[in-house]
Amino acid sequence: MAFHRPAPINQFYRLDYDETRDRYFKTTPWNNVVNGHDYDPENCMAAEGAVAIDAHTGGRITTSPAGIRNYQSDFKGGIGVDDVQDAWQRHFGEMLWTPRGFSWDDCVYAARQRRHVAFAVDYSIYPYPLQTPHAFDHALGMDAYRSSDSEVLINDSLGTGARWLPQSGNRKAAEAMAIRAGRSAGDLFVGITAIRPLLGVTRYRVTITGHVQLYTKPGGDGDEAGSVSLATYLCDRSKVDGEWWYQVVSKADGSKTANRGKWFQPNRYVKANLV
Amino acid sequence: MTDPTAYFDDQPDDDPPPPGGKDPETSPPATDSVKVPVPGAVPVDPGPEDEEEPNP
Repeated sequence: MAFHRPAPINQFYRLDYDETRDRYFKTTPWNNVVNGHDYDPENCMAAEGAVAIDAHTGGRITTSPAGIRNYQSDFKGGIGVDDVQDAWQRHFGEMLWTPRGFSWDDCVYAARQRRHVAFAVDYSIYPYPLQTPHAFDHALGMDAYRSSDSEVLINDSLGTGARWLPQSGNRKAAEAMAIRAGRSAGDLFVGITAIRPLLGVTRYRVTITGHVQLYTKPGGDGDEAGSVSLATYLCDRSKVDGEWWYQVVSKADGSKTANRGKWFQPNRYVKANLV
Repeated sequence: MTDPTAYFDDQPDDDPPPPGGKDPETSPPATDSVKVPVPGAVPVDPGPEDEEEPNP
């Protein structure tokens, strides 16, 4: 099953992608300074909120830790999933669900539905830390579940890419955070995205020679997102509710396009060739 | 490190979950949250030293 996977975000540094080595690497510091205070060390949840909105929108919306931090109202230190929800609604018009009573198993279920799950952890007991010492609380994101070994794909804003990790240590750290904050082990601090649509693994070079309407989502429940009348894109094709849809991946030469992540349906102006 | 390309090309979950799990979209919303991290107990900037410079 193929579905959109968000790009990793480091809370301290911008990341860029090295195609030849097939990995992300750090570039310049974010320096998210507001009123003289540098929030980079406290932006783990903001970074995770930025990863989550990439997942939530299929790459249509991408932002930075500051793009979350600066559009919510808590500037006293770290932030919570409710603050990420606030930033999403206030600035992007998107909904991050923060349900009560979600256990670890409920979160894994959500990931298996192709949702992205942001969750708060006690990093001091985390078995897979990316920094030592690590006596602090932290935010992580669960992006997928792998049935072959039951591991989960975890985004950690101290790293440069997601890692497949055992559930055990993630569960323990998430439950410890909930218990210490006055909840129970079955009531974690989570922010959960929408279900990501399945994408066809078939990629096409699509030439557009006449009017084509673009949408934010496939399947008729998306908003109009501009139109194109002359372009060639690399697109992924998938069937949604019985109809074929294309999602823009890049320009024909692989370079970035402002229409990345947008969807359209084939019409008489659309010619597609499998690549 | 997992392949960081934008789309899965492997099969992360070939065993879809059974129906009946909780739906976050219809579950009662939480009215509180925990702020992470608390001031004074935060990660330190590790610097970019563990990464390589991009190819010119």
